[in-house]
Amino acid sequence: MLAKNKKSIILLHGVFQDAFFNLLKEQKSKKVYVLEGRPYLDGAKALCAALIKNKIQPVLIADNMAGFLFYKELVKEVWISYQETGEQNILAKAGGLILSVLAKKHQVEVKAFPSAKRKKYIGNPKDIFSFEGKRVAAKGVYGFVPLLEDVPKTYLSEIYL
Amino acid sequence: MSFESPLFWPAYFKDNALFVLDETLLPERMHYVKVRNVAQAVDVIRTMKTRAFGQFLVVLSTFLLVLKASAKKTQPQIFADLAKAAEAINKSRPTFPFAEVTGMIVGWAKKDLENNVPLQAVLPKKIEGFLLGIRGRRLERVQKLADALMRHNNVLTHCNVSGELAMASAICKAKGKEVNFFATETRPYFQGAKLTCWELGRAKAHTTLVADNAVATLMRDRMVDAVVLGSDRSCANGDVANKIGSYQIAVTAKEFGVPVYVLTQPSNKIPSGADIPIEVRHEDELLKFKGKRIAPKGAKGFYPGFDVIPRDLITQPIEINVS
Repeated sequence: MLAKNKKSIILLHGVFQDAFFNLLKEQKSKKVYVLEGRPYLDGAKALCAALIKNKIQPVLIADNMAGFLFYKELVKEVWISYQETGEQNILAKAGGLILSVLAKKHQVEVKAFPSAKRKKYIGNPKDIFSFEGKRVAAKGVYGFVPLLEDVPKTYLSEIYL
Repeated sequence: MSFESPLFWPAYFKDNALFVLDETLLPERMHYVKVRNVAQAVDVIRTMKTRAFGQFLVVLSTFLLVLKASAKKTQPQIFADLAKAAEAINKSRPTFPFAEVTGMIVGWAKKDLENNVPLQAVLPKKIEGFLLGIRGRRLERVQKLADALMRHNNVLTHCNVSGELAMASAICKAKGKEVNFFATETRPYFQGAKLTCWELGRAKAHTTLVADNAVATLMRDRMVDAVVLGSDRSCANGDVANKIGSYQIAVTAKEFGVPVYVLTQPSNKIPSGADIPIEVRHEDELLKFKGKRIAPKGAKGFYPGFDVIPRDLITQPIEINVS
């Protein structure tokens, strides 16, 4: 399933407004890689469903697998969804900052597009203890669930409004 | 050492059988799988019932199983069985350096055979002695890790480092130093959520679970002041392979000036990280959870099992002494 050509993968993180899929179609993207988006799996569920509806093949990876694709120099561009934009930062889905740092190191463009959903800053700690309704975490542990994070505009090549 | 995690030494011998801690059942229950032969040993490795140091322990113990089952065999037959076991183990998973470990044992056996030294009498003692030495050196590394932790307050870790972090934490605690830990959940097998949180809890360490995508926020907001990672394989140039997710943690740590400590076992058998074969596991392990799909039909998956961490992203390797 892994693309073999250098700088060939488009990486998506978040959930995007409908117009985004037209952009993908315009650039003739047939296949994209999608981060699953813990804790609510909105990448695995909502984004994959929207891509399939738009006849674009999603390839799901876990949130910790993007670095591997960068290390192999396979990533061509990154798209992250954002909720708000300020003077110096955008408020993006958590995970957007890791992707932006990786992209900076590997000289890959990061583009931001408005999110289809609004989220609060912090989720309930319990949200990280379970996966698909089943407890996975050991008992007695605490949880910290940032859902949004600031990504400095200096990391971004383009912000769609 | 006052506290020893079950993950530090996750297998033991009893009545001529090997019992291996099934890490896939933790934290719900602590169950040891009975392993009687090479095929069962390969199965516990391939199905990830054991991993990291557990694999090393199972490999060496498998040779002990072969030797225990060879009472009525000739010396060349025993050697052939050992070589066959090595071949099966080497094919189990690609990234861990199984061939380095099995090659050492088969090399010892070959030498003994050539010198007419009875394999059943001598080889088990050599293997047991070697394991005892490894145990001692890992305990020394736990102490080194504790010394490093004493300089930090909030430490991020990823996947699971086979007991050593929890034991180092207990050493710090005994000295009056409380270290807070953040553990990534480590999708798709949740070794962080399950194993690391479990053993740090047993060591009475304050532990907070975060999603794999939350680490940059922790680092940028100075919520962590160090990262501790393990490693499955080391290279001559200092690169290492570790659980998938390690590379992006190390890159992000470098960006935000957070030191990265990696537990390593130096080896010069492979030149650099680019030469490490990376295991790609079946997409269903990512796309399904307890048999149910998490993504809509039509979505594909890609699951690389390991990352390479280049040496320049490692602030300080915490090495096992190799003599």
